[in-house]
Amino acid sequence: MIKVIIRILRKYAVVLLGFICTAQAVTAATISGFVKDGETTDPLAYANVVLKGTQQGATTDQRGYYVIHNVSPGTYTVTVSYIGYASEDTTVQANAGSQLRVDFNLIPQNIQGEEVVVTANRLRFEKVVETSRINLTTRELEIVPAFVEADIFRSIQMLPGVVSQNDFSAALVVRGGSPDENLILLDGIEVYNPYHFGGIFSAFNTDAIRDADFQAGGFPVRYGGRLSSVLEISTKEGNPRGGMLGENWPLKKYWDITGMSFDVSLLSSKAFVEGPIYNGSYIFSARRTYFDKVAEFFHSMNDTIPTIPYYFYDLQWKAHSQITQSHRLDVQGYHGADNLTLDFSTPGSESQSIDFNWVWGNTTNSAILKSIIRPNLVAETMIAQSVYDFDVDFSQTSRDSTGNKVTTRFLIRNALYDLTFGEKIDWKINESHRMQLGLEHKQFQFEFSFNNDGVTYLDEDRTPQLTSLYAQDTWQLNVLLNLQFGVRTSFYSLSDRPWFDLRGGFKYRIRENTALKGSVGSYSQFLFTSNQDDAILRIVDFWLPVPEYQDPQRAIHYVLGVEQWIGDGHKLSLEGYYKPYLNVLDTNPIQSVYNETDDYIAGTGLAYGLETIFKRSVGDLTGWVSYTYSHIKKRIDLDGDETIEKSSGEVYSPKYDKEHNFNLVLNYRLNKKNAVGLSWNWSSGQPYTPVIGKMYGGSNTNGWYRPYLAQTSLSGDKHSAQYPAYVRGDINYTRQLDWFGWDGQFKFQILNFTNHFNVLLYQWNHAELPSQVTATSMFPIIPTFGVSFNI
Amino acid sequence: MMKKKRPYHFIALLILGMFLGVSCEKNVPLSNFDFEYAPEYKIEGDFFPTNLGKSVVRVDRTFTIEDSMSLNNVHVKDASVKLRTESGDMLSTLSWQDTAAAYPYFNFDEDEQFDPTIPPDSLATFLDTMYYGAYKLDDLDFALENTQSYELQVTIDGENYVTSFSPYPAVEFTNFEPDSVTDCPCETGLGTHALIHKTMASDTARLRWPEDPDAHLYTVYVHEENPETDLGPQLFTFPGPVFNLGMLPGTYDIIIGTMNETFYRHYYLSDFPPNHEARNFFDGNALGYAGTLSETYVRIHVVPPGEM
Repeated sequence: MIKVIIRILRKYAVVLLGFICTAQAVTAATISGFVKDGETTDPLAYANVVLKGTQQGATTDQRGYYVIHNVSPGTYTVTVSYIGYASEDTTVQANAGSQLRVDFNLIPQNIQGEEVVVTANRLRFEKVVETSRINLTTRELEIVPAFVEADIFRSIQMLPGVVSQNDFSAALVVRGGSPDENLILLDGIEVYNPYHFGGIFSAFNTDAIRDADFQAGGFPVRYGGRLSSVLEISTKEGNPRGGMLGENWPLKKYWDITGMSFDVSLLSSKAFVEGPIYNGSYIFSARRTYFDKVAEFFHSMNDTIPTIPYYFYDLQWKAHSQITQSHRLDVQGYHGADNLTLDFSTPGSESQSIDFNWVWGNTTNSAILKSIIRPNLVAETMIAQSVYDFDVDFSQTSRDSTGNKVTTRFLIRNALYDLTFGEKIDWKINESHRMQLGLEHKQFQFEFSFNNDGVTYLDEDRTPQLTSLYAQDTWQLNVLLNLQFGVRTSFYSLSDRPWFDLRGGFKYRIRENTALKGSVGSYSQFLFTSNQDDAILRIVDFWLPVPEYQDPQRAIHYVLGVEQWIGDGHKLSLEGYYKPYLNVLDTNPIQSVYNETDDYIAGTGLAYGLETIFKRSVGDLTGWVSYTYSHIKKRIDLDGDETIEKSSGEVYSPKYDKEHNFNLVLNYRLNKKNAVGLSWNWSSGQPYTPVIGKMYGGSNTNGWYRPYLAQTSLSGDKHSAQYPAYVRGDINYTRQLDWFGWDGQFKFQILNFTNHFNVLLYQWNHAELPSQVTATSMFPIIPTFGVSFNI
Repeated sequence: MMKKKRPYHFIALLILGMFLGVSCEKNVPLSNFDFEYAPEYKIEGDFFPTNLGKSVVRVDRTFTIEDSMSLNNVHVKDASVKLRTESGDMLSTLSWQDTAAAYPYFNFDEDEQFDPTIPPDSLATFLDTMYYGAYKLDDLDFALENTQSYELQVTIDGENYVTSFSPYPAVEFTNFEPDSVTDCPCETGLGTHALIHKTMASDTARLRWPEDPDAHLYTVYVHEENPETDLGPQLFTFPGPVFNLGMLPGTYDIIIGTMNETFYRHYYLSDFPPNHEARNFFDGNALGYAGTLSETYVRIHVVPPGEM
């Protein structure tokens, strides 16, 4: 495999050299630089940079970087405009062959309409080839009410094409794909289990998030290893203004504090700090829940109130330093963990006790060096580590009549280590072509062990590798048509051949304000989770490498849509998708105990649907309304008889299939201090397997030994019935505070304010005559409130 | 090497239980559901090749949701039940017996709740015995060979329901010198089996048998022969091939059972409902199976460390 990689690298090197030589031959000047928020230093993507009085200009990329090629010698006024910021300009002298660096730090202010000739969003509408993409800012993330606190995944769940499994799960189901088909990136680093508390919360603290870019399909080749979607979360850069530590602070040149904020709610607290660091800035955020402490407090007053032996915490930090004008170093870290501890010992008695301790979480660390090699050639070198692990320690202790202490203990450990090295080259060849090249190597380590009373029953340690190369060209054919095509090649050490993914997309403006957009591409996935789709709770993602005896999971995306330009800060889009799954893996329900090559079986699937969204991001009334029609069917030979039959439950809609899904998210600013919000979701009921009859026995726990112990249900066809439609409305009220000079915010919200009974599951009791059915609901009406302060 | 069996599932159930505790519940009228189900027969043939007398065939009815269901109307007692070789040679008929088999269970009153703080000894006071009727072999003078296929035929109201099965060998312990082996005449009707006696020290008490890549699950039954501390027998399934006893000194009856494929599928393929063809080996208006659990009987005398 290495020989193949070297051959391909050589081939690329020749092509690359050719292009560079061509570029060097050009004698015109080049103007490049960064556009940032002057207060926070966050990069401003899609800002419009133009040379006044000419037709020349450029748009900034995600890093806020722009390049204007082929500038004839002369004196120019460079003007930058961006919605929500005051325009700025500066005069430069361009000489033949010169490479000018012009950076801008824009000051936020109210929009002065006429100043923004061509806005960033308009440029994006006209030029950027992208399907199924929606960007959410921090503010938009926070307007969706969520249990206990704002949650990025809860906001994403309100977008078209995305459904939630239930109120208790923050997992994302995108266009019929299971949650493990989503690539979750935190500042470019893959996070494998992005949930807390069995999926109730996402693992990310919104205080530290700048924005989230979500692509529900048709994503380009620079993203790999997943079948369905990409969620790219960017953390804030940190405000470098400083000043809180005073002018006499001896380390002021290296470190200071610009601001701090604290957020206290009924069940959790958060803290956020930002400030300057040597030639750059940093942020640090921390969060901890205290379900455990609150419950313990109430339990101490009334012992009938149960304790909740659970908490989670997370820490997130990021720093960057501009080492030289052309080199910037970013370092980032995240650590989050959940802890569940149960103690069933009897107070005052040593005769019997049960201790259960479960700790699980994610840790990521990364360093990224961004280098401007030439104004039109930017390289990014990354080394990153992402770790996800969980450990269970269960012990039961008892004493016999003679006082001997007897302990039974089992230990379970599962861990995934991902060490990634990546190199990306972003090469703006000319006004029409932009080439992105990349190499990514991942060294994985999967551990799984089970030990009972000192006897090791399972001790697996697998170390597969995944090396990927990609090349993508974005081609502006003319002012109306933009194309994008690329190829991604993956070499997976547990597979004996390379896997190629070809992807392409286009955007064509059929009218001044109407654009057609589309994409088609193949997608491969080399890791998967063995979680069951039917599970009500997704406690942890149990990641595994695709085994040697199976091909990677594969899917093809066909996306076609139309986008209408209404105005800045508005988005109106209609998209259809057709997604055949060529190969999906599922746990083999008839696997043998000892056979290592029958754990997982392959099947196929088909998802298709139609989505529309209208989103408004400016003015006092913001939010979006969306509707999705979707359909997903899987076909898997679950019983191993080499036929796929619907009557055997082998052709079915997964539990998360919702045919119709309507979302409304609104936030209205009443005045400078007060705002109200509403979110409303209506969706078709999820499929479930109905009960049609009853019998004695059939229980899987020693059903042969105690055949008449239980009255059990007989089931109909798999997922052939539907729960009632899901309806949930949440409202919130936010008031800005000013207490003793501290800016703050009070937030009150009511989840499910109509107290609609959304069925989570049915439970049957056949001991009664006739049989009785009890429906268990998801969230009932839940009021919560919280206060936050910025210091 | 044994494979993983999704150990986090019970943790999920634990947390789910916490959520359900704060969720709301309400009764749903049956009229909200559509039922189109005609009752069937449920036939389960449990055969024990190493102790044929213990074998039973249960022939029961299933019920619609609206039906009254109780132990008084579940059994089909007038079926014709036959066990044959694959080539059709009759091995034995089976006849109905009102108390064919029994098992212990916790017989709580309606208002009683299990209290984990009750000293373990007192749990014995809750134990009761459930006797049930089934069909039993009329003739025990034959053997079920591991290499052969057998056929169970049940005739109800003139309709034949037939399924076949092949036994799987019982485990044989390795590096194991028995103290003695006796034929054990068990309780009435349960036949006779070979009982192995063995003494072990509590710190090393362990049963090991050869790893078998074709094996399904094993059952492990443990019963302490001490009426004062008797908690009733413990039964669980186990992937083998090592069973770590971890017991206090005492005398224990242990039965290691080896499942054949149909037994394993019918009772333990929990991802399928019992009427799915992966677990149901009958056609027509019947569901169920016939299969074997080949048992090895061991009586272990566990002594304190250092007394061997």
